[in-house]
Amino acid sequence: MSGGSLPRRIVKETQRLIADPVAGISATPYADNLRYFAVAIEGPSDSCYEEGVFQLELFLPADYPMAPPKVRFLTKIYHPNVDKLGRICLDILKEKWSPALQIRTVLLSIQALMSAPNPDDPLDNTVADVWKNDEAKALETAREFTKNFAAKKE
Amino acid sequence: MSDMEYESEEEYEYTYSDEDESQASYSSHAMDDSASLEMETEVEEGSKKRKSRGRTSSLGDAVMKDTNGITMMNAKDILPMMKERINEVSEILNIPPSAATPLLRSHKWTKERLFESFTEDDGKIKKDAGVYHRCMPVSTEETNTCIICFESDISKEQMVGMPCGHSFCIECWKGHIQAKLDDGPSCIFAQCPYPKCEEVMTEVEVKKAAPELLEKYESYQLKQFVEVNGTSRWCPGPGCERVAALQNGSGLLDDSNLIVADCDSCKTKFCIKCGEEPHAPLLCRALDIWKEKCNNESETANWILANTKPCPKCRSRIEKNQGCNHMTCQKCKYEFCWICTGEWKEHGANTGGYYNCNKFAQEKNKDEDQSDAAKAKRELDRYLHYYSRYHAHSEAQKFASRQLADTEKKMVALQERRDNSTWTDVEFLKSANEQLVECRRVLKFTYAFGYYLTTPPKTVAPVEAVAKDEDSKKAKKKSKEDKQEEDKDEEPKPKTQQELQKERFEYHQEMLERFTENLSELVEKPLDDIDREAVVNQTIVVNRFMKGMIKYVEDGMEEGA
Repeated sequence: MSGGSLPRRIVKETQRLIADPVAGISATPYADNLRYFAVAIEGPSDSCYEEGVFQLELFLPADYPMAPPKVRFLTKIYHPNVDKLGRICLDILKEKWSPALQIRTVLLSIQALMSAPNPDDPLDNTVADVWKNDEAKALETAREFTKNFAAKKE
Repeated sequence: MSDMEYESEEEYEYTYSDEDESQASYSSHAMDDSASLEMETEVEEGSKKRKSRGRTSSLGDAVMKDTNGITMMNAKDILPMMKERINEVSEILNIPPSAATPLLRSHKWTKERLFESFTEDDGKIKKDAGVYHRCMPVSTEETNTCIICFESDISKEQMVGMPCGHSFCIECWKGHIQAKLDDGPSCIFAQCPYPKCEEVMTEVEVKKAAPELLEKYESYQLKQFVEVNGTSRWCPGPGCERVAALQNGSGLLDDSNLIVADCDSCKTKFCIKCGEEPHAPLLCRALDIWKEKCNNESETANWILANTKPCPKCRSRIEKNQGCNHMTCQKCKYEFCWICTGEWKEHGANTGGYYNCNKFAQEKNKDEDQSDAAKAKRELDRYLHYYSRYHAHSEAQKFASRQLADTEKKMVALQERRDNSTWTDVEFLKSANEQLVECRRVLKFTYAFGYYLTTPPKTVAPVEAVAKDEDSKKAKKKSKEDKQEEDKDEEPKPKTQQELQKERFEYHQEMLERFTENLSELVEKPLDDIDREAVVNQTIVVNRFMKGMIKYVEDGMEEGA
């Protein structure tokens, strides 16, 4: 549908992402659909996701950038703001979206959310409860998940 | 024959007024002297005159009277009212009109409220409303690149800036505005496209960047004004776009009286305060509480508590649907006594017989069983008493509405059957049916009202609390006057003001109910048996009872006040 007429904005964003990548984040469009990106985010150091690499998918809807991109974790992650399907609770992906935000800024925000989980605004209540009542146990579980599901492939 | 029926109708009136006098302070509004005189005159007219045009229209006028103070208008006619308010605020606060609009919006369109908080901390309220920079614009950065589409070399004319200094190209503005309009009514709260910038977008930017979308944007502004300004309401009629505006009074939030709007376009009648169907004598808050109660699952919980018990062995909930107290659990086959939930084996001659265990007798001797289950059951029975009647009249109202829709056909048939009769001669049937619908509606709500009339003060609906407050004041005045009369009555225990009120209320209700049923019966007869005079007069009588009922409540349940 949009194969031939990809908006200039998306073309430029993609070019910049490839030419000037963000440290610890990679985003590559699929050849058969330039609005669909394979994303990998390295777990931030000093977090319970350290040493892990998390795969995500990102899709730019037809009305992007007036509407926010759709982003979802593919790798299992133990996080109070991510549910079992990998959906993310992040304000800039919803009501705080601005057309002046970009793929780059969105992915940086997700990385920041991994460094600083917000159990007071949870998407997964059971995870959030553990996070609030027994943080040590929550961090332990998150590390275990990271080791089991997000280990770097050698 | 019609005269005969007529007589009996008058009988009714007289019986009523007789009762009136005998029951001390029961003098009713509907039947005060002047009213009954008027009624007699109309009754006579009814039997003498064949053409009933005058009467029908006087009935119609009476219904219209409720619409006092309400103007029905088109949405665009209310626009000047909104503009006037915006311009006034703009002048007084010395800010652009585009800044006045969001400020008014964040203060429910009340100028006074806005001025008050403006003097307290204008910086904060400007920020909260998203007009901080609109009141003190910052210089827009000269740029030829749009940060949304990444286009560079954009001409100055193609860039549209916000007062906060951010600017974007016209094409991106169009996209942003369209996306916000697609979100619906919330588009009027849309902010600057710059990330986390809280300055709101207004009609100024829409006009500059997307004039073709201005009309739609402004229609959302107007919609919000109508809904929030506190003196107007959209007609709830399906597809109707008229607005009912309250011309005077303290606005829609004042719950102390009821004002019925009558849409001149789609003929929908509605309460301008809450938008529901007219619900006198119940006030809006009480209606809300009643509706919530009826929808609420808690009544089901009450029922379960009152009518079931858990099996003492397996804890399954068991409903007792027959008289026998010897229970056998369907699930675990345990046999037990319903009364004491003890094992049935132990019930015999030594415990007072199978169907008469001593624990039962003991419980029965208690004057008021205070257990939770018993309390819940009492409350449930009380609620069911009122709800079943509310429901019955609600169903009857629906039936009467359907019948009203068929009336026209009936009227044509009736006209054909009776030679030399004109349309006005058969119009009485329509009036009667309209009256029936209205009476059913009022009766329906009297049962919700009645329910709250007897609720203990703790859980009382706010309306009632107010009513009681007034009562206690008035009661002090009145008690002296009443005392003498009460003494004459030789009542062993003087009734409390509340009990008297309840009795009077129920009396009004009963009369309205009785005459409504009469009218119902008369109207539902086969066409050939319909007695015109009887229907016409019963319609008038019922109308008086209905108004009397509502007036009694409106006057604070004080007779002759």
